[in-house]
Amino acid sequence: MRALIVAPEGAAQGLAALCDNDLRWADFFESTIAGDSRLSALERVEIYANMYFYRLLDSLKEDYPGVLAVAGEVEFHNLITDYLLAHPPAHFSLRYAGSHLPEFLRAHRLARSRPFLPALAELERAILDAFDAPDASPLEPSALEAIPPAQWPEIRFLPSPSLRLLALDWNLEEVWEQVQRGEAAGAAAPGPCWVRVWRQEFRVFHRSVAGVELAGLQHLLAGHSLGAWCEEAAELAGGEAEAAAGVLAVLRQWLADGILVGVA
Amino acid sequence: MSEFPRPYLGYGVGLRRPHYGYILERWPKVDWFEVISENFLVPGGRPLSILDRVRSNYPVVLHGVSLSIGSADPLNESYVRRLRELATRIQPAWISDHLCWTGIGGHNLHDLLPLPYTEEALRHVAARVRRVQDLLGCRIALENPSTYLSYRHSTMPEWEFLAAVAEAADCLILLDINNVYVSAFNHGFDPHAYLNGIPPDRVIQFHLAGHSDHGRYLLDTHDHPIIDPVWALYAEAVRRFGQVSTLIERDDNIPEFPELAAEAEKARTIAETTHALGDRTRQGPAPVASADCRA
Repeated sequence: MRALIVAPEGAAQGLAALCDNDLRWADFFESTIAGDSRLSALERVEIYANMYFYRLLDSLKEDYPGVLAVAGEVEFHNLITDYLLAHPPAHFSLRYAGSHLPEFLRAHRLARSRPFLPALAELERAILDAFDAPDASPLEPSALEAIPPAQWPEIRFLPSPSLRLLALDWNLEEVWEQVQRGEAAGAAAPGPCWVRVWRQEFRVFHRSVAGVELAGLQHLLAGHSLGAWCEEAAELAGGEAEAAAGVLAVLRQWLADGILVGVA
Repeated sequence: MSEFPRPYLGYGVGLRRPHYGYILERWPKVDWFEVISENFLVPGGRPLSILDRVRSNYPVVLHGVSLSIGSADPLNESYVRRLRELATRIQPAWISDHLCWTGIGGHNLHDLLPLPYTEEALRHVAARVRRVQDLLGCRIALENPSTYLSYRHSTMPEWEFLAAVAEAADCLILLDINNVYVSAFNHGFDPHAYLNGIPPDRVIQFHLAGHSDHGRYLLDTHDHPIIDPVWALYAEAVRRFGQVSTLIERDDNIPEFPELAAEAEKARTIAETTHALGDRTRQGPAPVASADCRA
């Protein structure tokens, strides 16, 4: 029955395809599902087939509003038809039904005309993951004041469980703004772009990062010490004094954004 | 069949995202809330925080859609354990899911598919319900789904199957009045026969909802107000089962919260009027603390 419900062109086509391989499917179906004068057995299965697809389509529209806006209703519908054949839901929650969409999009024909779509899907997935990531109390600035200066190079900050650092091939800022304003989305600018995604209280934010902050995020997420970050910052800034000012400014921003939740 | 203490929660509404702000600002006068369990089986964030706050002011029932109690796949014990963790945190009045299967071969169809109502299926479902109840540490309630197809090899009507599962597994029944109405239309059976076939001692909750009329069949869409014939069937259910905790469901085309709260009040009026007319008053309110769920 599952094969009939998930058949992309409907239960009737699904049954026909099964019967092409083995005619006994027709007898099996006839002897299993009851029909009556109001609705045939096949029409009854078709009700479930329609609900299967449209329930998932609606859920994925909510998860990927940007991809939907860029692709348009028709292309998004076709994309999800293809996607569900490749990745039928396996998790108990609809929340994870679209987990594979970013990687699936990379090889999908839609990415040929809109090559930034996989990156947009990756960003939307990260936002969704940050939305219900584990809770953690942000680090208070006063906690840092208690640490003796001599220990600073060795300390390691703990990142918020919601923090994500994405390495994208496209700068999506303009497209994102267009989607948020409900305008027709144009093209994104190609080129490497690092984006941090995080949740503060219950709101999820994202913004592009570079330079000292990017280096800091990479060290933070790798569990490296503050000293390791400062060394790289000194190379980037061309001097320890300039690097210290840059690191301090980033740290203040991280504390304000709540992306640090502890220090070890 | 042994009697058991049943908490009586009154008249509630399903907790849905569009109403979060209204509920947290106004703390509206409604007796209790039911939530879709899977929406809160997440690591953290806003949904869980809101559920904690709602629970601090109202009784809450966990209502699942993915237990897949009738599937031929192995029981997803990892899911049940996560449900238990949520129950430990929320302390629900009880936990419910559906008499159905939702997936096979490791794939989830995210729908409530009907079972063949046979002795073999009965033994299969009852054994799985007992296992779930052991894992959760409490009895669960199973809801009759709206269905659109049936199997030729079924040997008994759905109500007989549901009653037999409840008896064999010692579980409870969440009787969805709208689903009885929808399935009765779709399969051409008598909805009154359904009510008469359900053992009153097992019914812990009623669901009420709207559906959509597709001409040759009714679809349980939860996107319309409750129609008069369903209200009439509800009144009959109250006469048979007594005053049972009642919940208004709405999942699509969701109106402002007061409209749903008004439907909950209408259910209260119907139930109380029915009692005032001298019908059976088998079930009186009991404190929530005596909840069946000890998870």
